[in-house]
Amino acid sequence: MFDLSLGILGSAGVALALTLSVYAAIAGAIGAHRRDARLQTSARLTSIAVFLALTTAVVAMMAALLTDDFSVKYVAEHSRIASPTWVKVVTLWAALEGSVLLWAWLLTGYTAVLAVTTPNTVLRPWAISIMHTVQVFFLGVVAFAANPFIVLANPPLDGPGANPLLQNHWMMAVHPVLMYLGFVGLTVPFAFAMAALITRRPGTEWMRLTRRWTLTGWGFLTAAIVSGGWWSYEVLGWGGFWAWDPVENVSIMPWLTATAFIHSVQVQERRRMLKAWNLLLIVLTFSLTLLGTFLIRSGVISSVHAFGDGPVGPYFLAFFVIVALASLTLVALRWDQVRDRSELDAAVSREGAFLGVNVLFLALAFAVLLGTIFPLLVEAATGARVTVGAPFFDQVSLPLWMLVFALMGVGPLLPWRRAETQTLKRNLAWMLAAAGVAAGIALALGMRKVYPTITIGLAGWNLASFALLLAGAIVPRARITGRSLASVFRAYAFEHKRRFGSMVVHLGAVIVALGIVGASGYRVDQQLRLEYGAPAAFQGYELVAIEPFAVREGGRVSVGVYIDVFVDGRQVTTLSPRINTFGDQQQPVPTASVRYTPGHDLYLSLAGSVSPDTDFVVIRAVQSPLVTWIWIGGVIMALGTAYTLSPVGARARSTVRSDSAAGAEA
Amino acid sequence: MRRRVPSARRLGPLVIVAMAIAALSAPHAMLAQEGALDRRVFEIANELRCPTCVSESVGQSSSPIAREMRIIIQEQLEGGATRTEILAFFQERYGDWILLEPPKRGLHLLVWVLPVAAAMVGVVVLGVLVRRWQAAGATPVAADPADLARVRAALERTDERPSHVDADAFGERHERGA
Repeated sequence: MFDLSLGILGSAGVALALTLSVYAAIAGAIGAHRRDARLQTSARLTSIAVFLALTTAVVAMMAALLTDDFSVKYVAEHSRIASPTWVKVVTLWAALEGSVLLWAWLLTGYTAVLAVTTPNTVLRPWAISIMHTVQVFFLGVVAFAANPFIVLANPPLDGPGANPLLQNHWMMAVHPVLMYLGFVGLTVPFAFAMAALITRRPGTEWMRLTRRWTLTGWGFLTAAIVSGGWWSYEVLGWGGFWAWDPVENVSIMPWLTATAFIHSVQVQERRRMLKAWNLLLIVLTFSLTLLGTFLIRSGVISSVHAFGDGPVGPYFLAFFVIVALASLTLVALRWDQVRDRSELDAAVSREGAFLGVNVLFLALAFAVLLGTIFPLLVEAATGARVTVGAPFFDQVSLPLWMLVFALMGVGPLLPWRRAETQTLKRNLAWMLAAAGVAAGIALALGMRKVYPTITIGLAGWNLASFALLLAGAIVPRARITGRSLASVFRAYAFEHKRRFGSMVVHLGAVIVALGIVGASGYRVDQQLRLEYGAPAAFQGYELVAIEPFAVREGGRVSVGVYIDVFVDGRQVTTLSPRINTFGDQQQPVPTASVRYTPGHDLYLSLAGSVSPDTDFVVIRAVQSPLVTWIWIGGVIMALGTAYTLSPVGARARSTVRSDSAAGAEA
Repeated sequence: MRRRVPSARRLGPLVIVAMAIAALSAPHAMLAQEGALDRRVFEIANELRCPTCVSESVGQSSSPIAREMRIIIQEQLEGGATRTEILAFFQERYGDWILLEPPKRGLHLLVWVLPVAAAMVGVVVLGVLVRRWQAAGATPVAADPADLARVRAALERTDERPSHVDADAFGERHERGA
């Protein structure tokens, strides 16, 4: 019998994928340069082979994890026999080597889909070649710097299991995958942008071809950030969702520049301006994903979420430098073609709003980047240790966020080229009135904090803006056609997916902002000492600790306390905050228990040990108003993005075909 | 209602072991006696860095030192100290490093000034560009008569098409003047 080791199979898969990808990158480039269709096709088909080869490696890793094959180093270091199956599955990306493997695998998957679905244009061969170049880097890291498939001569009988914080919550199955889908999605427009520069076609073609990829990447990144917030909320035990931790910061930096990008490409589509700027933005976005990975994976910055320190840091730094230098050089070489010969009719116009929001998002990204690396820079320069924490990021970013939300209300109402002063004044009057009413209600309810009150006002401002947008689109049509408002609305939402979807995304952003106002501005955080059986008051609740418990399930030991929760003498629920311990790992994880309601969450976590010989327990109680709306708003943003991407309806399709054909000729 | 974990098995000896493990994370014995902490404690604790943690505040962390610091804050509050005094107390012992909000002086000033400066540079550059682009837009472009004739001919042809919508490069239709 021939017993094929999973480790060797995996290594072989990675090596094959790497070899093929090197071939595809070179063949694609030569094929594109010589306009050799056979080489181009060969590179394209190789993309599928690369994906299949790496899929073999991923399947081998999954099999090794599920069958507890501790001869594979990664499994030996990060898995454990007693873990439940879902934990073994997510262990694939719970540590550094595995997560780079996942990233590389998703990249090969995207490249394969791209190779099959992209229409044949001059850009395609170069874009495929560039995707493969990026892929060669990731596969190289997997093969040489962080190989998870190393075969151990003396396999242990059992492993330590995944990081306790990670296996403590099922969100771990979702959040990292979304993150990598986002990062990888934003690689596609980067590859096409570079292809556009190489082929001297820096028009709108590259962004038109990648519009769906860009939005997909952005949507996944948005969902990833929000789901990461929810994971923090559930797992870290202090009832917060965002702490301006370095890992959080490096995830939001590419999101900020990508958000600027998806807005400013529209200016180029409509007005043929900002060619160079859009190219720089996508270069910046892609580079920031690499820089971020370097910062958090190399150990130069410590973070509460840094689960995979390892040897890959310098490689990511080197690749970041190469990508930045190469793409900037390319932009410089093509400067004559990308230089704008722009004309602007008026600053108060749709394009003007897009320009403004570009500056705001870039300023935000810069502030976050600076705050994140400032301690690093100071320590390198002077040796002094400094801290830049949440209060800094709040103070610097909040004014910018307020401006973003103000512009978000105005921008969509402005027509391209030039706004009619009278219409604009009327719209602004309505919006100001709504903002005043909203802020007035907030003040009447006793809100006195500055930013929360402004945000409530801006929510009113934006809601009025949505109403005006919809009314402007629907009422005249209903009047002309004589159909009901509802049916015109349905037709509008169906036929204008892009516009309507963007409104949904903006609405989601408003809802997220309101959730943040409540949860950050008005949370109540208290530590309580509960004697068993004796009620303790907390924010209108009565909490009664009933008894301690201990449970063992799936290789996890939970010790906690049942706490009955009463409102007005009526029991509403029982919460069970606990401390989880996984296997032999000495790191106990305090795990909160949450009562979710639309108005506010009641969040209890243990603040002391549970011991059988005391007659009390110390808990941390958090009341977090509106926090659920952050997750709901995040889902709405993701759904809105998906809606803009959903296939165009049958009625609109014929028009679209002819129009895009006309666009391609132009 | 109370037994919400269906697979919960009560394991006598396990309780002792597990609690011993949990006790490893137990803080200062003092905490066990005191327990209750005021909400103001966390507001102040959120402005201090937990000295032994990786990028967590004293308010967030469940580490022993963070719990002790929260108790110190509680005691100082009970002793009548203000927020500023308590922050100064920790700053004296640990240095500026303990404050999550970098003080606005010395080297720290850079981190405060640079984002504002960058935003201002951005606004100024944008302002200059907008003026330049507007000037470019205001300058009439000399048109070739032959081109003009072609455009006129093309426009006459398009008049036969429905004119209430126009389409951009993406095939998305926009209402005119919406």
